[in-house]
Amino acid sequence: MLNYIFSIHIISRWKTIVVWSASMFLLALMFSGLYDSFKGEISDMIDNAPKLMEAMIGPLPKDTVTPESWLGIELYGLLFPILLGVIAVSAGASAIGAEEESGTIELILASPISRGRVVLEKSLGIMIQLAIVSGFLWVGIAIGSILFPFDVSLSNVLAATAMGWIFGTTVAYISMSAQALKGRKGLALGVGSGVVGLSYVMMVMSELLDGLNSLKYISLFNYYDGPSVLINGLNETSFAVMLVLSGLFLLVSLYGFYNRDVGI
Amino acid sequence: MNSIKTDVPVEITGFSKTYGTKIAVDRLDLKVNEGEVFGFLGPNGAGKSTTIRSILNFLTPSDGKISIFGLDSVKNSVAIKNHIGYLAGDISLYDSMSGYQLFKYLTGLGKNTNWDYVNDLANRLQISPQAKIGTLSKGNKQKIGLIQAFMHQPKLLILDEPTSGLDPLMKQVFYEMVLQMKHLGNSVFVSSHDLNEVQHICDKAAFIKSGRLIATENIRGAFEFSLRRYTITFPKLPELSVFEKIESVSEVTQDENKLTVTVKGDISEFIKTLSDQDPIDLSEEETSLEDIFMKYYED
Repeated sequence: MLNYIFSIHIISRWKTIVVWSASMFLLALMFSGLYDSFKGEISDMIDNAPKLMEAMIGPLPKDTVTPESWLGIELYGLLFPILLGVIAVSAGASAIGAEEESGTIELILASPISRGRVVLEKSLGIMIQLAIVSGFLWVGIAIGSILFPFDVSLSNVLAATAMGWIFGTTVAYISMSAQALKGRKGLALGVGSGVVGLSYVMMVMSELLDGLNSLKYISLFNYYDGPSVLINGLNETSFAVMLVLSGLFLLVSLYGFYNRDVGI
Repeated sequence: MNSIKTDVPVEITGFSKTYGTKIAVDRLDLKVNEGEVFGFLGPNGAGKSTTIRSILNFLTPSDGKISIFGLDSVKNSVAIKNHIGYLAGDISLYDSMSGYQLFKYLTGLGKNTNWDYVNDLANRLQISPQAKIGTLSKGNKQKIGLIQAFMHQPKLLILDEPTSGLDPLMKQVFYEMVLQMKHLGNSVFVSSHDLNEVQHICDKAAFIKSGRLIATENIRGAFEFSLRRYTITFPKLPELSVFEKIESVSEVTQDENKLTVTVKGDISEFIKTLSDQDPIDLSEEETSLEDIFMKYYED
């Protein structure tokens, strides 16, 4: 396993991965456990919720609160995509950027491998890193559904988790492409964070203002839409849109890293 | 499949590298022959690292061509690196890995490692590759860096400040490692600030200043005769211009009734002119690479 760039990417970040995975697991367990006690309160809150709240955390249930809608409100509406976005921005910006900053990229590039392989293996490392962290959220909910009175559709939870994972992957590849083009990790962090922030603002604005409704089509949050997936199952079209976007930004990363100087 | 020409490890023709309007290297021409230890000298910012990084295709030449074993350094970068060992100046390693883990990782990236040779190098350099790199001193990290550069016995070694942080004993081991590679017919391209080191191990040295090649000198054999400094005592000092107009004389300085004359290359005309001036004493100073370096770089 030590022979691959992607495995070193994961091994070198194992502490971060463990901390984030544990956090996701505990969050999932906590919200699974709280459902039975707080579902009544949340129903009262939804009845009086302003439109802004629905715009911010996604569609609210019209009648009774189910475990799926509970997770949508508490976890998958905002907390999960934002946390995953933070991890993804950092992972994308530092995948190649950290090696360039430290100078270890010279060890890799002095070896008989192409720059393309470096980008592809780093991309694979990011996907696996995000899958591990997201996966622990699902595991936490699965265990929560056994430990607590929380009868949730684990397949829909898996689908929503997968939407979060592809959302994170897209954000990470956007960050990575900025770093690959310009060789600046700080810029990549800014671009990635900016994309997440702007995406969220556009989604909220499109929900609140009818005239700006079309803004949602350029918001990643619109395609992610975890709360709806928890209720309706995987949205293949939205998943495919983010998959294609990830592929496009991966191509940008390949182009950028192939065509610029490294280690100036 | 591109075949390599081992008789021309490095051939740089008209290589230039610019960053915006700044010219880092300007029309550089260099050739390293098979089995040669080639020194690459110059002050900080002269363009040494830019040249080395361009040889390795970390940087793309703005103009000119870099050919490694007859292959283009940009188009055939991957094929070329099968035959190159590289030690970066101020090398960065993975602190969380042990030396062995690093060697295994780099082997996985395509280096054809000779593990017996790795163990031999570790013994000679008195380093334990089992230790975590992050716990090692600068000198010991440099040893790990040297082993990863040498471990596949590459046909071309590119070393940037290779003895930085090594104690004198370990420097001697390094010199032996280089000579061993040379005896195998492999070539070494070494950038160093240590002129004694270059004089000790190099066959040839190129001097670069402000991005331009200013001279290439043979260090072995011809070097001892290429630059000489004479101190001559006269009963009555002759005009300095008598010596200054000789083509091979590069420098004339006066101190009371003594002249110090630096002669490069053929000394016959200088000796003939000198005999006409009736000197009463003549001494020849031993030249060193440092003299040459100072001649090229003092303004």
